[in-house]
Amino acid sequence: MAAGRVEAHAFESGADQYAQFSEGVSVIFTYPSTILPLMALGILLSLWHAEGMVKAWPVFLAGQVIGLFAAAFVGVWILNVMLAVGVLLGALAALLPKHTQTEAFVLAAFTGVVSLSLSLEGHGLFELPIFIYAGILFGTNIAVACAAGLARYAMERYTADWMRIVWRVAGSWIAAMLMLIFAFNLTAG
Amino acid sequence: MKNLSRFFGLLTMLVAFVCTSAAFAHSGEGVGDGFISGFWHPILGPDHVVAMIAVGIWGAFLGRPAIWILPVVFPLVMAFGGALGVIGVPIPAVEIGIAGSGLVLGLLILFAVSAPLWVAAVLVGIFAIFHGHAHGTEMGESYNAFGYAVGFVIGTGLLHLIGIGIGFFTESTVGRWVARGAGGVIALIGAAFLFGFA
Repeated sequence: MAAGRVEAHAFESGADQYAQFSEGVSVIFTYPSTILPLMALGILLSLWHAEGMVKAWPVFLAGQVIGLFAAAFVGVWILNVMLAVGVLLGALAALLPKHTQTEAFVLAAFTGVVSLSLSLEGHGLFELPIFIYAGILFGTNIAVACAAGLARYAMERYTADWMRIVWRVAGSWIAAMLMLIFAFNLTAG
Repeated sequence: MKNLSRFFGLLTMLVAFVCTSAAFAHSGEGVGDGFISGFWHPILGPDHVVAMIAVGIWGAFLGRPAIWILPVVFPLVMAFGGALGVIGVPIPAVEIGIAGSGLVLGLLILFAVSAPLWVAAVLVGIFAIFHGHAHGTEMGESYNAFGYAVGFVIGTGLLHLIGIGIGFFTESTVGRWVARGAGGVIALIGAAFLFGFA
């Protein structure tokens, strides 16, 4: 099976600043290998704490800043790292009944580093127009915030145990999808 | 009445979803095609279907927390088996394991066996690896990987939900007997596959 290998994004939106921003956002939302791990992080943060996203946001942002710098030094292998991180995030969200602050912060920081490194794979710092960076940062943060917010709302709206299980099942499904994509990617070479 | 309306609303959505999917079945290779292939792959194999549903019913017989833990754990373990199949790691006696899973799980339901949670998890986990491996090995090479993975996990998950739904009938005496009867049918189907009658 030919897995959709994510290569360095070409970023060909031209001089239009809105198009640049949109292209940056689309890098996050149109690649399952990027969006699924970010969703898993959002779910895990809300399973950890109702304010989990807000509490972990500073370290997540710090990770993204490191990722901006690290992107120039990564190759296509970063996709496999992102998929592995996604499997880990989904599996931990699914299997652990309780989460700790250390776990949440470490995972948020590391996901930030890897996500930005993957989105900007091979591109040096400020090699691209600033609005592309803005779009990528916006997409990365909004993806995690939406997943975390949706999970938090659902668990606060329905406080029964089964609602927490629903989000753990969602984490399990995301991890399962990413595990298969990871295998396809390995066989695609 | 309100609940009935909701039920029919959900049913309509489900039917629309399934019919729409069928209409897209041959629209070319891409994410949609991969999704359709992955979605139907676990659903169109009767030996897989009975085992997936049996997991849900047996989970209901075991009660909490098994009824919730099994659907959380099963997709992960099954995907692990699928990944082994995709990358070509051989597992012996996969077909026997699949057919045996229907027979064993069916008998466990028929006789309403209450196993400790860890025994149930290990048993179901082993069966999940067999099923996942078969799906991973049999997958067509022309389908989109992302679409296939998403469709496969959702298709498998829906089968579990059907099993858990049937399992909820065990809360009444009549429903319990119906569920045990379903276990008997599942065991027969598993035996038919195991001994080469199907």
